[in-house]
Amino acid sequence: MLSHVTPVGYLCLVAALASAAIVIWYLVKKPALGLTTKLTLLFGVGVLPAAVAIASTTVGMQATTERRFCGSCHVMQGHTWNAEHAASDSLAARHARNPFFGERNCYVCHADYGMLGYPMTKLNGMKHVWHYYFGGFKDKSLDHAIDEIDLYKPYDNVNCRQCHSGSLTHFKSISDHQSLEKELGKNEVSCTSGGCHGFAHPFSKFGKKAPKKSTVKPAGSASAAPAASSAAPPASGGAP
Amino acid sequence: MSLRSKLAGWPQALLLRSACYAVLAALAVMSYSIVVPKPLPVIAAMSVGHVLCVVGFACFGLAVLVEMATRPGARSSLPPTSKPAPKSEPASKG
Ligand code: HEC
Ligand code: HEC
Ligand code: HEC
Repeated sequence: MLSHVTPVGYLCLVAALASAAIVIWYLVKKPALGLTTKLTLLFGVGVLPAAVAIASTTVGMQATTERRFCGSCHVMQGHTWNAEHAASDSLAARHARNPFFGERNCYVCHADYGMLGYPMTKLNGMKHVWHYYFGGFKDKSLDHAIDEIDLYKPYDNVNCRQCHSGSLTHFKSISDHQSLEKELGKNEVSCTSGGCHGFAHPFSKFGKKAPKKSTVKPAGSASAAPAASSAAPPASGGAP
Repeated sequence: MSLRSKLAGWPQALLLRSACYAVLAALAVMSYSIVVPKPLPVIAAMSVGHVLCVVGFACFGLAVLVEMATRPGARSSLPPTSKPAPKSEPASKG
């Protein structure tokens, strides 16, 4: 159960226990407020809790980058399930298998890498939380949510380029990369568009953009069924 | 009325107990966010948890001031005049 707790997390828990021990000692013994008591309490209600506050913040911020965290809201579980599934070959899933960032693949692709990237990412995340609890998503089925949720802004190719710089010979030798160099730079063409590397989460595109020939009407009933490819998420509510 | 005599009237024991309970609650909220790193616990730790930490420490600080004000023969440890005191009264409610 505690397998996800990092060393800093454990240190933090130990500090919290020590602090609690001091506080409880004080509450039980009620010693006079002499110098020793004051100094002990200074640790118990000042220094140690401050350390816990700082450490738990770093641990918490780190935790928000894990795929497990994204999947703690059921409306994201289509995406997380797809990325984890061994048979899945979506672009998102292929980026989940690298041991160095695989567990954080959602974050590395979806964080904002602009100048104010970090706070903007967190603000955006708070928006999701708000919409989840107060915007009705909490009560939506996974199927509905997948149909409804879309990016707020078009995907920024810069996010791919933080890892795939596009400056190496092999990259440049691809004729499409060459001919679209300008458009890719200006985000006029997305790396993940249909004809290029494909959608990162193709399963979520049925009924939306994926069938480019627009043979499938996005209208209600029919849209859910074709999504059942091998890498589609489990049926509604089916938390893995 | 001097700051010292004002402070002396404050309920020191209550302040200390409040400090303890506030800090215990803060520790619980923050530790929970480490054990269960889900959105609401993490947000709670960084908001409620931090506020409780500050409130607890403020109560402790006040209690120490009260102790200094009431200690016999510690007159010089606090400014004797009623210089505008930091308006931190609400914390006395704990
Ligand atoms: C390889 C980079 C990459 C990874 C990894 C990735 N995404 Fe995406 N995501 C994208 C792109 C690009 C889009 C834009 C639509 C598309 O191409 O499918 C997108 C779109 C989305 C959307 C909008 C709805 C939709 O499907 O279009 C959600 C929600 C989303 N991603 C969540 C996640 C979650 C949760 C994870 C972790 C399991 C994740 N993403 C991992 C690149 C990525
Ligand atoms: C509190 C539950 C919750 C968590 C946790 C969560 N999401 Fe979401 N996410 C939502 C909801 C609800 C929406 C739809 C918001 C809307 O349409 O306004 C959404 C929408 C999105 C979108 C599309 C909108 C956009 O921002 O462009 C992306 C991408 C996304 N989430 C990625 C992630 C990633 C990556 C993580 C983990 C770091 C994550 N989400 C964690 C609830 C959550
Ligand atoms: C965090 C760094 C990172 C980001 C961000 C990232 N990639 Fe990757 N990408 C990699 C790595 C590393 C590999 C090789 C994975 C492996 O070998 O496990 C890879 C592999 C690929 C491959 C080859 C997959 C295959 O099956 O051979 C493609 C295509 C690709 N990325 C496209 C993209 C696109 C498009 C984006 C933006 C939506 C993107 N990547 C974002 C690091 C990244």
